[in-house]
Amino acid sequence: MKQLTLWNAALTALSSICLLVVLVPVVYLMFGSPPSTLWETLQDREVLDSLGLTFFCGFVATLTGLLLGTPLAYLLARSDFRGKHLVQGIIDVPIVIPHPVAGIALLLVFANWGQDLSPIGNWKGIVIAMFFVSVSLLVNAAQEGFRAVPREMEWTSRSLGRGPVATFFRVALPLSRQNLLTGSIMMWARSISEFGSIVILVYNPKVASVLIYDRFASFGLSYSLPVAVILIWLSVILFFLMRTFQERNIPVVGH
Amino acid sequence: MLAIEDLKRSLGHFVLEIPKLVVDKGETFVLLGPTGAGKSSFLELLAGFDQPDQGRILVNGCDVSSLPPDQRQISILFQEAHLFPHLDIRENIQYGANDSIFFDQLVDLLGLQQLLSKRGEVLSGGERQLVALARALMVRPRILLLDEPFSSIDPENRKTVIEAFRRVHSQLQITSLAVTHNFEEGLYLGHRLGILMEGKLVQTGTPQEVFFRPATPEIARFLGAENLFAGRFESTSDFPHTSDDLEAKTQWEEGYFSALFRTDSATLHVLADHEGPGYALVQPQDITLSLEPIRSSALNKFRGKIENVTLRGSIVQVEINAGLVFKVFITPQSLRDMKLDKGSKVYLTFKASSVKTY
Repeated sequence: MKQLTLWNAALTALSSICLLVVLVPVVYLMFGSPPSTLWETLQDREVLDSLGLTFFCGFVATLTGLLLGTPLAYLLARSDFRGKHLVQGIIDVPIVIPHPVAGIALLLVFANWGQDLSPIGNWKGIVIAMFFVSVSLLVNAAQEGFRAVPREMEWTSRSLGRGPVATFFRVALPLSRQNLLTGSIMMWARSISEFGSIVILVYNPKVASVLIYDRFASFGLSYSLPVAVILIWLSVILFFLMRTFQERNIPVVGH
Repeated sequence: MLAIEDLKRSLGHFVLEIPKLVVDKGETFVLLGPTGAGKSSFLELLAGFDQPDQGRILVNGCDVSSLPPDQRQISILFQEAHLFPHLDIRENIQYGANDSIFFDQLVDLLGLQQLLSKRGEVLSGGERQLVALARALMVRPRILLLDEPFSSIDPENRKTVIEAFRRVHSQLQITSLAVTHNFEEGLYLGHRLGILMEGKLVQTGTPQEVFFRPATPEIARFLGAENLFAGRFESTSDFPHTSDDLEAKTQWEEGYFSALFRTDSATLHVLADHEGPGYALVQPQDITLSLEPIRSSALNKFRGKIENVTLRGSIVQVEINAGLVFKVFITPQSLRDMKLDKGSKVYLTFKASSVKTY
């Protein structure tokens, strides 16, 4: 019994340290600027444009991820084909490479594109960079969701006369929506926090992370801090709202 | 009607081969087999979830082998009901077809009225399986496949569900093929049975034929047959079969001859088709148990001592050592009437022609 208590105490202590390492800087940052400074920063056109651009591009990247990543996740979850492990590996590449490296890779791809098509230096480049670094989160979460739907459930649908498309939209998709939502939230959150690849591909127009870095490098902490505080408050509020929405829409997958 | 012709599917080292099988209209064919025999793989081929390497699957004379599952008109019921959790009960049943008259008929037949207002997750295992059955039948399938459909239902509800299945089956005259490893289910459901072992259909027949005359010792073992003995056959000429032993006469015509089956501890009179090593199976129901020797034309008469008495449901299994240890089933009433107990001396009598030899 004594051993069990000690074990519990050790678990609690180590968990608390882990949580504090994450929580302390975030709480410090959230309350790092007085409300008057935040209000003043919110009047700044450059800040508003930057925040708008960040959330808009994050939204477009996530939507594109849903459109292109969902079929890929379904394919990986449901089909066995030669090179499946390779495809899975490719999807996970952005997780393991440093993001400035991702930015340089994207820069190389688009360097010779014509002025009209090139995403370098405009919002399309931001979306591409966000997509590149975060789509694996969505694909992996969606895969987990599709795998959790019993294969027999889809087979039942097929045997009842529904084709593969109807089965996907009437069975697999509705039953995986919790994972798709989780994946989307993760992808969106990762997108709006992206800096390394975007700063290389699109310095201007500036997304929030680039603006914070730019102000920090040019004018110091006091000028960049309010923008950082606003970004983190907005992110936390949106994240919380999305999680709440998600929990209210959990379908029950059973036998 | 369902017909299989030269069906073959290789899955690594495992090969599933069904050269010929016909399930007549309105018939329930039950495929029994141990785990890993290929029962579920066979159903997957029939339903179209997997493709055979060769062979044809004919439904009412049409080859459906190359059709996708949604065009075969073959419904399948799995071990778990797999109700769609995002749909209510009515939507589940009407998932494949929306015919309100037939819906009402099915709900009536299966007794589902009380369940329509409930949510899927609050139903019992048996209720869920009944809803799944209604859903499978709603599309008026030409063939119904059942993959161990009652094995996950608790024993209390299983009987009700099986009764409902039999009711709807006889009413709608559905052609169905079920796979199971549960003998009781197989006996209860099947008009005919098949035994699938290591991917091969090794015996088909009525439940009586399969259970009482298993084609090989392996099948007998799989079916849990009692009194299967290993020994040697020796032909014998002094075989005083009576002319009214019709079964023996039929077997003689099929090439069997009078033989003695010798083990280390006993000798049986049998009909055999070969000499040398082999097996003899004496079904418990073919053995007459008595307190005194009985006058009969049967050649196998033994005196033995009861070693064990075990209650098995509504019958009593008596183990008697008569050189060989025989298991005999009697009713509890007989046990009381004959005052049998461990150590009692008894007589066993059975015909040579009732011994199945391999």
